[in-house]
Amino acid sequence: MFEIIAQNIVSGIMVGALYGLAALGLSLVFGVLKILNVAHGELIMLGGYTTFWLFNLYGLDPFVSLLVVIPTLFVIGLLLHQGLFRPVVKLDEENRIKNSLLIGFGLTLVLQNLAIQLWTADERSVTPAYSTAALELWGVRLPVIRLAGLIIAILTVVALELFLNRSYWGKAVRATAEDWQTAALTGININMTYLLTFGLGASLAGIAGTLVTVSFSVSPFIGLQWTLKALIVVVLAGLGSIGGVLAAGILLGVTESLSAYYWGGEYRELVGLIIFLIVLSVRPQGLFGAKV
Amino acid sequence: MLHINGIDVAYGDLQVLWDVSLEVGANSVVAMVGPNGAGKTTTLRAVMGLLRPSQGRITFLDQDITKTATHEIVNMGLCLVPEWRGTFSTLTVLENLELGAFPKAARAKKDVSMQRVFEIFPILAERQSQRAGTLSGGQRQMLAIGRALMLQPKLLILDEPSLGLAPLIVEDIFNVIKQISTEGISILVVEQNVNMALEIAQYAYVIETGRIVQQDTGAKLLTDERVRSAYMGI
Repeated sequence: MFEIIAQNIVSGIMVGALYGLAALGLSLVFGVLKILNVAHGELIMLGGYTTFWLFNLYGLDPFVSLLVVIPTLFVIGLLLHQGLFRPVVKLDEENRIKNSLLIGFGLTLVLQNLAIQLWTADERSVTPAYSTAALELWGVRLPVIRLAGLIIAILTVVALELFLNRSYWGKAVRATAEDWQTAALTGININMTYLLTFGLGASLAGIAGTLVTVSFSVSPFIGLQWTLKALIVVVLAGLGSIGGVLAAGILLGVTESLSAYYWGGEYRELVGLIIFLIVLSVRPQGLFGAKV
Repeated sequence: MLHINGIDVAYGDLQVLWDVSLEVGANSVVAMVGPNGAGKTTTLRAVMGLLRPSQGRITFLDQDITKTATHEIVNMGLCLVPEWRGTFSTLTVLENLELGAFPKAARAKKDVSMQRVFEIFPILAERQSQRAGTLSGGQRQMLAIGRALMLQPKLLILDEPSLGLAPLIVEDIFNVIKQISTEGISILVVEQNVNMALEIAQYAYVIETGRIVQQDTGAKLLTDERVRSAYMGI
């Protein structure tokens, strides 16, 4: 009994770390550029296919493939920002949201169809030799792949925190998020900060994509479901706390996992959404967000 | 140093500045005074590239900056302390100052500038690890000016430095402005506190409903009938 509950909690933590990672880029871009990129899930998908391709064509280990995925998605992010989102960022805040939604939905369709052309509509998975390996700890099974995913999620959060808090450009990103006009008056090239942030957001989506693909599978249609999960996590966490995003992701993962155990799998999504609504009405700034 | 030549500025269809011209020479203190809504802040936003004039030209150090990006204008040595103070409340005092020296040239002289800022405002040294959001209004204004000094400006523009501050603090701030102006930094100060501004200014402009209506030396405007009755209630 105890072991089953512990197993559910541990599985929830490991899936939740993926939710958190999927939300990280969305949260960063939303917090800094004040635009909502609904095609974030499609960037996750592209990261997944990059890993799939590298594994299938060159036999590259999926975790090693991150070294290619991160820069590749970064460049894709830069191109998307320059080509599509740059004009939107020049608008006032309300119109930024509206217009970015329209562009994002359009981009979603384009990327989905591009993926069908390139990789067909089949579900693809990446299965390295250790894909079924697991550790056992006090009767709790820890699949190696999920465990590695958790560790990578934590490392990513730490790296991002260090970048934002220690480096000059990281501080410039935080300053731009708080007040872009004052940031510009401080001599910060805000167009550059926006570009950099969007690129970083895409890289973070790429990392999530790799982990999603080795943990589950990838198909051209996974985007929407991950964008929705990421949105829920962003609302739960609130803006301005990187660690809070991971924590909120894990909270969602554990809740889903436990409700699936107690009430059955069909309640998994429902409980997550109920928490989402409760937080939205009781604590709209999010669990870890600063009060406005 | 700074030349504003006949600029018109509009927000959408609503024109708010008509043919505004203004000049700030090297080593000088210039004031722009006028009532709320006259277009003072709009003029400054146009100078800093946050708004684009539909007519006219702005030059700084003989270079046309009418269409230059804000951060490049700042890199040239033209800095604005905005009316909304311009500090980052989620960053510490130290981080605010460090970020003030963001452009490469300023970054190289960061330590010297920081030393200087702490000499001028010792309170900032005491509060350096505190978040800027927890500072009082006066301390925030000091941080905003300190942050601008980190950029080693050639011309410092101050928008309503006295806004919302107690009279004693206002006096402190104006003393600092006077002190800075003796160190080879030109000052353009925009104020509703007309008395204070005219006292420290060698030359001043009066702006009303988007037009420059009067200009003269600070001393002359201080004794001018019209200015005295309109702005000092005398």
